[in-house]
Amino acid sequence: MTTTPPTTRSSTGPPENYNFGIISVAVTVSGSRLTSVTIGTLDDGGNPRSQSIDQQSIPILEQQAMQAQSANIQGVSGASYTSSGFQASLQGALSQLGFK
Amino acid sequence: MGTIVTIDVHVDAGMPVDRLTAYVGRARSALRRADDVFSTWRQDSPMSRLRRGEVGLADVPQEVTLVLDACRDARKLTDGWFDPWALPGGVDPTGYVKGWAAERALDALRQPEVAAAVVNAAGDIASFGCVSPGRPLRFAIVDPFDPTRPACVVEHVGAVATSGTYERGEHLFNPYSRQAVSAVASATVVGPELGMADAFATALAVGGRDVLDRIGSLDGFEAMTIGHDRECLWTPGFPWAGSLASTGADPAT
Repeated sequence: MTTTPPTTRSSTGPPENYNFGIISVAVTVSGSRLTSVTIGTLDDGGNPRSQSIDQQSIPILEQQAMQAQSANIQGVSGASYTSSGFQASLQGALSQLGFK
Repeated sequence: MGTIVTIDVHVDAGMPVDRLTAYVGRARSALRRADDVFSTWRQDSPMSRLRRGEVGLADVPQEVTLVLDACRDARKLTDGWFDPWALPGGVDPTGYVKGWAAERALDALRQPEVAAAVVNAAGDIASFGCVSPGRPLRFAIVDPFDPTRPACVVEHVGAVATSGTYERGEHLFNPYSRQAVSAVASATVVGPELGMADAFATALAVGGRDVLDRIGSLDGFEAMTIGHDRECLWTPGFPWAGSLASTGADPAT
């Protein structure tokens, strides 16, 4: 049987080329929280890439750390995900993973 | 930089993993679909082509008409403080569509085995359900002067949108002065639906007190602002955690 190799769509530049990047899916099963961190369709040509990520390097997950500190919080609302400081370190983290 | 989305799903123990994976896959597809249609970063998206006048409304997916109609409603409800048509470069519904897309993703998770779900799109939240019997969901609002700390906690099931001066790139645009300014450091709106809550929070961040009072008069919506001088203003029903205004009722059930 022959298989067609996946078509790679190269990202045409920095992540500014799309609006929605899905960076984390957390699943809570009856009280205990599992966080599975996956990179969504940033550069996949249809094939999602999953990698495990050092949580410290992703500022968005600092928000989740804030959540974890207070076990009875289900989320954090704020505009800080996109502040320039966060952007810079997020960019760095994504570069490390091969997303330019 | 694009919008980062996190999805939290609270499920019953014993739920088959493949079913959960399927639901989350559908939520992600909904976000991808919204990106494909509305992204102003993609040159060839229907929204970009519409903005350039290359196509008309009849040639683009129906969601575009639906979203633009909702933006018209939001513009009217905010007395023009939210105005996607006032932005340079052509109509840009991003301030509404981010929340709308999160709601579409959330809809994919409304399944019997899912007790609660939270879709967080760059700090704007869409949610349903219950994690603690008889208690509403609880969300922290970031301190605009120290984004590593919470300023306060709200109890709400549904949408929580926060807009602020520390938002990137989308310089908050005052459609009246036609300048990029903001009246407050942080503006939060809670309500039943995130597209509207998002639009209202954007309007509130530039319009300040007038918009706060306006939102307070709208059924189902409450608002709060943190000023540059740290002064806090809020609508009478704003659901501070532990306040009488926060109830355990989930409007979806």
